[in-house]
Amino acid sequence: MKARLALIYSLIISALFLAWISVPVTTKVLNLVKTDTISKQEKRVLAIKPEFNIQNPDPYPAKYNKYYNDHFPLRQSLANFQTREIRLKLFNRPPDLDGLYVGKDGWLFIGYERDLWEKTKPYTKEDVKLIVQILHKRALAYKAKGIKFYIVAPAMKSEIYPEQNPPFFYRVTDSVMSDLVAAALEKDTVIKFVSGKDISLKYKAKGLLYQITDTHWNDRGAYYTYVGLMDLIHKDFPTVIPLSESQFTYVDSVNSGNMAVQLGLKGFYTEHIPVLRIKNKRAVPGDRTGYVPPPEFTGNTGLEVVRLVNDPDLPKAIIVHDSYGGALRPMLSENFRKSVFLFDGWYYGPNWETIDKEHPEIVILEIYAAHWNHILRWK
Amino acid sequence: MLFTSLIFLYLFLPVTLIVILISNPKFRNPLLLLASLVFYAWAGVSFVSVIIGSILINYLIGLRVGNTASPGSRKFWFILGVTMNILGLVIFKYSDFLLDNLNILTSLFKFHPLHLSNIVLPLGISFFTFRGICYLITVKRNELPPNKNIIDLGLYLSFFPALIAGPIDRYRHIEPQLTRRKINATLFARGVNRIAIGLAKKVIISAPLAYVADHIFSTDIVTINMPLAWLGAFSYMLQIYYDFSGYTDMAIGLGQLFGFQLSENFDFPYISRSIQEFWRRWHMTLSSWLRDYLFLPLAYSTSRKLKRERYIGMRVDNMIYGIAIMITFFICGFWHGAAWNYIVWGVVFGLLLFLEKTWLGKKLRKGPKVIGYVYTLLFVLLAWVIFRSPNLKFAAAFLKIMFGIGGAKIEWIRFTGYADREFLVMAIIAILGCTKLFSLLLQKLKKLMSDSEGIKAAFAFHGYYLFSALFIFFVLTYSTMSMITGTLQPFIYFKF
Repeated sequence: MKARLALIYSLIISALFLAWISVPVTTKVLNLVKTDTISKQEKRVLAIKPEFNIQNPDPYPAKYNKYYNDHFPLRQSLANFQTREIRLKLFNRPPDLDGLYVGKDGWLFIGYERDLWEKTKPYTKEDVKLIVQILHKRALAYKAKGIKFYIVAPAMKSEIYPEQNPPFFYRVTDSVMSDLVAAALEKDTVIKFVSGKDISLKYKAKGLLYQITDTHWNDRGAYYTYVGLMDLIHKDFPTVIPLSESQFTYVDSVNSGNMAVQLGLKGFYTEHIPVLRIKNKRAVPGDRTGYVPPPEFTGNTGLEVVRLVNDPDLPKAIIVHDSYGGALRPMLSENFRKSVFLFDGWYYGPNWETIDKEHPEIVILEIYAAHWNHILRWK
Repeated sequence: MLFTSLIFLYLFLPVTLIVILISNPKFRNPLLLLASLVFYAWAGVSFVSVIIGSILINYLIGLRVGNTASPGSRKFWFILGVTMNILGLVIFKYSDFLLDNLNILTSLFKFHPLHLSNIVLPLGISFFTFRGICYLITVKRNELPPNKNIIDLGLYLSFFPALIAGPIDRYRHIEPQLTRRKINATLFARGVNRIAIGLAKKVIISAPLAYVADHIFSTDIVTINMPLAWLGAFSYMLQIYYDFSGYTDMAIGLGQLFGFQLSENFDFPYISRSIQEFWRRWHMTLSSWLRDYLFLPLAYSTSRKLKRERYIGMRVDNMIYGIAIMITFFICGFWHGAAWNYIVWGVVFGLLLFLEKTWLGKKLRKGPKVIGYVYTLLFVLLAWVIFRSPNLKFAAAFLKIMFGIGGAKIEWIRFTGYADREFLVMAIIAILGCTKLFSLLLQKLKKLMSDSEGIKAAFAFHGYYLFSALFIFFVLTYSTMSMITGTLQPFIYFKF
């Protein structure tokens, strides 16, 4: 009797296992689950089914793997379920993803900041010299056209909040690579440089300056660096006066940062983010200049934003920026009669075409401190 | 294709299983061989020619060895076969290493360095080479006749569950199963259970340990302090066991799905009281292979050459053991990888085994058990540091830091950063799993099922199967979710 029952159990387990592992194939064959071509959560295009090339068959398996993984039924829902309902509840910790690390108390960090901490990658000390040379040359070229060149570098989150870093973010020496670039730029006589790191460290005690679950700073973090930049510009252009804190209202926004969203933790990992609203906004949208973004962003008109202030005494500025510039934009817009914001796809280029068209008095380069190596493409 | 990949578990495996289960038993071996070649091709389509070449060579030379009457001729074909197997391994696995070291030597005499175009290591070559040699030895020793069916031999050499990481089954163990095996529900269910155990070991237990070990061993050595070094070594010690034994469990379980009974490879190695016992319990199919096909022949041939009773004050049997064990473990280390740290790792074990044979072994046997456990665990742990390190320089620095020589400033916050809740839970489960605790509990339950009667027995019986079923599906679900999470590749620049 027991043997018979044991056999029945074995049959049930075997059949269930076979059925279980066959579910994805079955759904695929019967076309039961439609998969997307884009992952909204990961913000990327999913792999397409590769063609088998008899002439060069070796890459096929890896490509097919990627395609299969990307289109696995209920992929995102299952991963999110594990992250939210199992890992977070049991271990109080979401998983690390490729290039995205979990620090203490749920703080999230971009992985490549670690390389800069370890001072090994992505650029060498020789590169540091080259970066400064390139920028110096650019500053001279701008100067020849009567343009003042300012550089502002928002700091890496891991630099401002090292106490929240994952345990493997470890500083080898006192300075990281971005510090070497900053130190060299500070000595440069043509470039006017604002170190977001110095400012953020100075004002850290005033309140949270960065978003816990996002790659970026918050409006408060952006504001203090904005003031630092404006103070510098004010020396050259006395009409430029930074907005004071009393000209803003703070609004508390509860949200999930970009990294929390990518981990599938939207709504689970939330934080209070201070949002600054300018009380008496002067800047209004202006017509785009016709800026042509880099080829990979062709057609994306959101990469150029123009703001106008009806005050002829203010200078005109072109601001080349990355995603950190998003929080600076409303503030900067108030200080120039025309502000042209260019997001040039992390090229951080001189953007001569727009400059020759607009003839600004000021060019501001806002560059996230982990991205100095991007300048090397202009050597 | 890894067993812990979605494509294996949810495409390759169900398709292969269904095809095999519905096919006529006489077509099962050709179909399994085909599946194994597809599995192999997934690591690189061009590598299939390497394994097909190995199958052909071993098949043809095996026939020659088995069908030649003259001992001289048999010996010739046998040596040729073994040489060709080893040559394949040397070309694909060791040529870069050998050439690099040759270039270092020749550079002393100002010779120009030699270069090879990039040779990519074919998957599992160390394993199928050893199986090939095992087959030739079996035929040479007349333990079994040569296999006239190239499909069957090909399946022995390339059977996909054992292709990447063993076990290195003996030909005489598999040969009867090639022609006389049956797939039945009991074995199949046992296989499913074993796969689940393997998945749990690899995906649930080993992964958080690997996370810590990988980070610590990939960090710049100047950032490592003493507590971190011990944590890294300890994590790796558990990780490699759970990773490897988990993979072997899956291999054995997969074999059972297809009616095969592959050999066991681990027997609680971390509860050994000596290094000798450790090697009887760790990667058992490799250590027995090395013992039977390398150590014993070496010891035998050395004993024929050494005629005196003592050499340099050492008894001849110890001398013979010393020579044979050092060569065996030198090769064992080299087999694991073409780098000096693997060689040193092997040599360290050779030395420890020699010490145990000549002096330490007796003391360990006579002393309290706990000393044997601590001694074995400590030296195995230190040896794993050499094994895991990217190079010998790193290993030496790492070991020094473990013993308080050098290293970064001790900051416990970094230690506790790694040893978080998940790590601690998994480490405790892992430590308990290294003992026989779970195994004894299972045995008790099985005894209760068979010995007792009435409600108690029924409860134990149904409880066992229901728990098994729940365990299997929990592990499958959790592992699948973990595999999926591993495929997520967020694009972090999107907010602009």
